Amino acid sequence: MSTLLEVNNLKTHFGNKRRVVKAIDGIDFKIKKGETVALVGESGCGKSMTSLSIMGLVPAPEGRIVDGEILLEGVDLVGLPEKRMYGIRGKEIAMIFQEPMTSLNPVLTIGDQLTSVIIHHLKVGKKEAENRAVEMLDLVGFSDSRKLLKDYPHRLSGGMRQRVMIAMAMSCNPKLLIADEPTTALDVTIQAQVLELMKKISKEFSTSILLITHDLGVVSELAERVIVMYAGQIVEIADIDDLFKSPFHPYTVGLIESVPKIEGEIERLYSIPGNVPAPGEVIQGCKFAARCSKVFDRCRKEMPTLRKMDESRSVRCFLYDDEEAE
Amino acid sequence: MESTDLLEPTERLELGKTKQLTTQETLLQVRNLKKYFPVKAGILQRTVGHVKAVDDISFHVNKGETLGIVGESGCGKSTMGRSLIRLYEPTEGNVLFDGTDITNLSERELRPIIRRKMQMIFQDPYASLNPRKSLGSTLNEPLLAHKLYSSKKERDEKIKDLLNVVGLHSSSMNYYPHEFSGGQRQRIGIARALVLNPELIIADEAVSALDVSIQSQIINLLEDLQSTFNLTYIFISHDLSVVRHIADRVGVMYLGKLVELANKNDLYAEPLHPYTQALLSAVPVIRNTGVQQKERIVLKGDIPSPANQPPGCVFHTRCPAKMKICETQIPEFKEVKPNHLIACHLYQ
Repeated sequence: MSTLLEVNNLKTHFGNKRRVVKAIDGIDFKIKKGETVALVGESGCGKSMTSLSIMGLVPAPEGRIVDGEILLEGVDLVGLPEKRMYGIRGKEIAMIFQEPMTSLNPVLTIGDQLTSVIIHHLKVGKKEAENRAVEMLDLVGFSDSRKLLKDYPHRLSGGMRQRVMIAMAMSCNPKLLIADEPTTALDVTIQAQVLELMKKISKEFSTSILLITHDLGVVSELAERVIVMYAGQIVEIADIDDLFKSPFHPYTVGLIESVPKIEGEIERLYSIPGNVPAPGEVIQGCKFAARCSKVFDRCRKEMPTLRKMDESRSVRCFLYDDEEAE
Repeated sequence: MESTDLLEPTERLELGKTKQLTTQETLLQVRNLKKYFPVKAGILQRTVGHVKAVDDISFHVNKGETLGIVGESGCGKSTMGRSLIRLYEPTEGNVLFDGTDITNLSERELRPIIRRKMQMIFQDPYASLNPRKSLGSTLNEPLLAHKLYSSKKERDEKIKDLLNVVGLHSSSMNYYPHEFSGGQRQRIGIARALVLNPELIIADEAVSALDVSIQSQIINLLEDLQSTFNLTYIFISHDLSVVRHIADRVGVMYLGKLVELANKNDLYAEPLHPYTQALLSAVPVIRNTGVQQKERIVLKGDIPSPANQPPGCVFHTRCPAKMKICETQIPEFKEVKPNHLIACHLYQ
């Protein structure tokens, strides 16, 4: 499989000269064609900012990409003129958000919103755009799609709105779909509907999906590969089975252990001590050192690098450093 | 410091690692509880209908146990929690706390019973703390109102002890809510609930807004406190995995009704109600925990509006095992196996 998206040494910072918040502090990863990759982490780890950087939607002027490149099929998206980004957003890369209500316009009908995307990107007439919209709504599981075109968003439930968002995102056949916490606001039974739909879409369209979530259950349902982020950095990249079978980084281990399991009994939950570092906090050495159970001297002085273990696996931890092994 | 120092000698209990359920004494008895909200319309604001948020619920809670209540948004689980301590006035039904019917007591009569012995922990601790009051004065207020300690020194002592118990530094008394992180705020919410030495704590989505690593800290804290102070919990949550971990018995709610109630192991291993079955199968399971994902039952459609409940069984519009009788008759909530109650025509 060839590479669709390549992110190299991306740094997105906030603030001014006096105080800099490094929301993303040098991340590298690749997404192959047709692959579903999950980006996991807790609040404030920079996972949503990663998606906004890819979309060119980092809130300016306080936030900016200070370094690095984002290559979509070889074209660098960083610094691309806004005019060209218009052609890419919605067409090449589409995005769905956590809150489907706030991402739909309440004063326009579903039909207006769906067709305007299609008319803009696919350069077709109104009639044709409507047919395409109906086709997409059918695909995401609506039964009377043509009637739905005349409805307003407030008439729909949360799950239905999220399905409309998926229909809209998929209507121009994007190469990459970024799903930022797509099921977090939904109930479990509705979440199940949306997850089934996303599985179907990734299979039928062979679209690459970048799934951003904090829910390891959802990750395990959808993703093939997982990127774990902590405090603006990638701490581990692994194939899904490897990650849950034998997590390497102490943070990943802690994260998996902390989740109460629906099957089986645990006497006491594992918990990572302490808190996520505050944004802008300057930390010397490894950012996880203060909470890590396996911390040693070197961790507090030096920052470990993201080290490639094998073809599919990387980890940022001195425990897996050859020097330490010797 | 030793957390037992806080307890009065009579209240002191043996600290055990595991919860001891020696007594089967009932602490709270709920009978046919209903809470309807009127729907008003027109210039005259006439009542045109009712939202049946809680509709005829009965259950009991034993001393020292944790009753989990699960359900999806809009099922009435929060309304039920609030009706129990009369933050909402119940429309009908009785709530008995330690044998006393508290549904018709006046506010003055309530104060020594539920206002002191029943406390609540909320989902968003920031929204439930006064941003202009330091932590110390927030925690001081209930002690003053209930005249529990005569001197300021004693009260401060109590508050400092309590902060240590919930894992905060005693110097944080002088800080304001915005200076704490989400997890710390939830610890404050817990400290406030504990300040009057309550017997029953209703935790409404107490860990839902927290990150996974913080969530497990708070869950462990709640379990520790339960065994230290012999607390009884009603733990309301939409997260089935968390409830499985913390609860002893679990009740499942759908559209204002309790559809199933059983010991947690029975409920999770062998759910009987079609809704419970679908709910459990819908939870995404982490791979390699030694279990296969259950055959997923994907329910069609959405939850009907509680203002316009379907006739008969409330679940029949989405039920995969629907029969003719379900459309017209409301199933009775009754025991079909020992300690396993269910409201479904399949088992009647």
